[in-house]
Amino acid sequence: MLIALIDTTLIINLLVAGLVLGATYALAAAGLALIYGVMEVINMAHGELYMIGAFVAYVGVTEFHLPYVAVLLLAAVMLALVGLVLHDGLLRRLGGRGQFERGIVLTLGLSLILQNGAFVVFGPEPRTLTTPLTLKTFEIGGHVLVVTRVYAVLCAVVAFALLYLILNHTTIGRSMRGAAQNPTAALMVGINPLRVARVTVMLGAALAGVAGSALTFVYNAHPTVGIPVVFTAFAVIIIGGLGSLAGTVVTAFALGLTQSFVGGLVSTTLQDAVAFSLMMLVLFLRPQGIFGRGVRL
Amino acid sequence: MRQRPYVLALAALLGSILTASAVAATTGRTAEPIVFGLATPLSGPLTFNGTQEVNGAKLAVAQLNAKGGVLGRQIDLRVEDDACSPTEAVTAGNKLIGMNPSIIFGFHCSSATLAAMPLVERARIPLINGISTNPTIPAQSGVGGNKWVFTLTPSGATFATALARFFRLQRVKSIAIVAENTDYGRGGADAMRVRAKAFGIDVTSVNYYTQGTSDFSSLLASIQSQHPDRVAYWGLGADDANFARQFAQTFRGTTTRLSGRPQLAGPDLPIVQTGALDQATTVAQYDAHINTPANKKFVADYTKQYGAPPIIQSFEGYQEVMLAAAAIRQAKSVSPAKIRDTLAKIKFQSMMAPPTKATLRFDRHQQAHDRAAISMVRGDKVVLQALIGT
Repeated sequence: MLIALIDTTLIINLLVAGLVLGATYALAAAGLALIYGVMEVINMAHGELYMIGAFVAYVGVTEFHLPYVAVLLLAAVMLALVGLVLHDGLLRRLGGRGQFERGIVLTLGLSLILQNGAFVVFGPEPRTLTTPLTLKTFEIGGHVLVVTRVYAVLCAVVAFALLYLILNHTTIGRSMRGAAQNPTAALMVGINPLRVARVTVMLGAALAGVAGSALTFVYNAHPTVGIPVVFTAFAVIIIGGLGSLAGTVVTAFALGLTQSFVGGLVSTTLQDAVAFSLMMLVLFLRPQGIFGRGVRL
Repeated sequence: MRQRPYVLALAALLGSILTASAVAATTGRTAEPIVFGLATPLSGPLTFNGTQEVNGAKLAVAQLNAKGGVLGRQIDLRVEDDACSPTEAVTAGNKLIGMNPSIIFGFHCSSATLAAMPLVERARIPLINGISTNPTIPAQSGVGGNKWVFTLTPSGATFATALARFFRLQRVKSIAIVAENTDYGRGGADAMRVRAKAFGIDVTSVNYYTQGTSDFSSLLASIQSQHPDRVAYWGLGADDANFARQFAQTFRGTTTRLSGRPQLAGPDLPIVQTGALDQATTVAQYDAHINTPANKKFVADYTKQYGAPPIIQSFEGYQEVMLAAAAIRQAKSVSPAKIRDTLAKIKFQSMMAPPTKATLRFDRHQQAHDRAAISMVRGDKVVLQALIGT
């Protein structure tokens, strides 16, 4: 292992692997943080939204021969529509008191329905998507990079750039931030909470769809693919600070890199232990999360 | 008086029902079905593998029932999900035991089987384990203590020996071992490490991962820096398919080849078909290409029924049911104790051997197996490379 530590190729490979992991976590956790930030609802079905995005990409490429970018956009649009149904059909009916607990139970039930629905529709077999780019690699400075992994990182970068623009340079984005920071004040200045919540859930679901779609070129698609994703996403948003989008992104990449180096230099079995140990440590020392300061998004 | 026709009609109806019941009883058509229990993962990362076992078992039951069942009674297969977890296995085992089965099959994953072994022993119901390969299972069976567990597969140690022999033939000098962190993976990895060293093969590292892991890139990067000739992989299900793809991406253009127990079938096939896993090998208790009349018929029937060829788990599900049926016929009884006694001494024909070859029987540890199949990827196809006696 000491020899491995000074192997620069290994270090760079672990760095790239960590960035891809970080991008995965950031994409998956951002939607979760967004929905919690505005609605204070923990969406337990978020992993299943990721799973739907993965199957949209799989079916789009294998059955309709759509290009990578097209399936990504298709997944974003379809999941935004799923988000619309999720909000208007379920989340908006949660009511005031006990909303948090009811939200958990409701979305947990939805998660099970979606998982089992996927078993019925797609069967239990993991789906491996292969395209002409699956095994393509390229070199930068003598280091080999896998095209599909770089594509996933680029998807994350573009998705976050768009999210930044929406949140900071559009009326609805500013409304979302306002509603997240002070719901009462937002209502007083005429922000429509229903509209804001609807757009937030649509955006959060679309981000999960983008994550699932982009990562189907890296990992398999199967009905339970969202379970580990959502658990790590929970760790990310708790460490980063519930509802803090910036905290979520920074934590996601930090955690991805930490897990990659732990997996490569110590043991893969410790990767999850590291994530959840950090989460527990943060809960003990700083319950609001590292970046949680009461002001969200 | 106007009610008389109705009374007569009612009497005639009752009479018909009684007559039909009497006829059915004499012909045995209403005899209670024989209950077979099967516990296998139908949720979690091994859902695909568990479903394959169920498919194989269902095919066998359908074929037996179509021929009138066993001892003139139909077979009723009850399936429970054990989620590949020891805790769920105990729940699934207790549920099955509550259904009064004549025999149970399962529990697919070694950890689950080890957890369920005391249950079947207490309930005095025979268990046929066709899939779990942890060496502790046969070690604790038969003369090892538990008289109710029968293992119908080689153990991880046997596979490791077959593979180490094959590595020596291929002049392999070093291997890295990757295994899931379960009784299956740890049992296989330990055996592989010991056998490789016994055959003079250097083991560069032994690595474990948590079942359900999808990203192996950091682990593979670490192994890449060790430059082994082979990576012996001991994992299953969705993990296996992710590992195969990421292995192909990482080691393409190098001399390192995939080996151990990757499925190279089912969800691995799309990667195999790219040609990127050329010369990858796997060792298993079954290969669909085995050219015996019994296996050819099984493959044809299975493919017709499910639209895809069988894999190891499908074969084992089928074989478990067929062996149980043979034991019941020979015992002329559906009593679990009599089936157990019969299994302990039964001689049966392996589907993997030509009909002229000797029959199999369970050894002192109540384990029976035929040969280990080593399959190899040639270009973009999997071919049967060798059958090694076990």
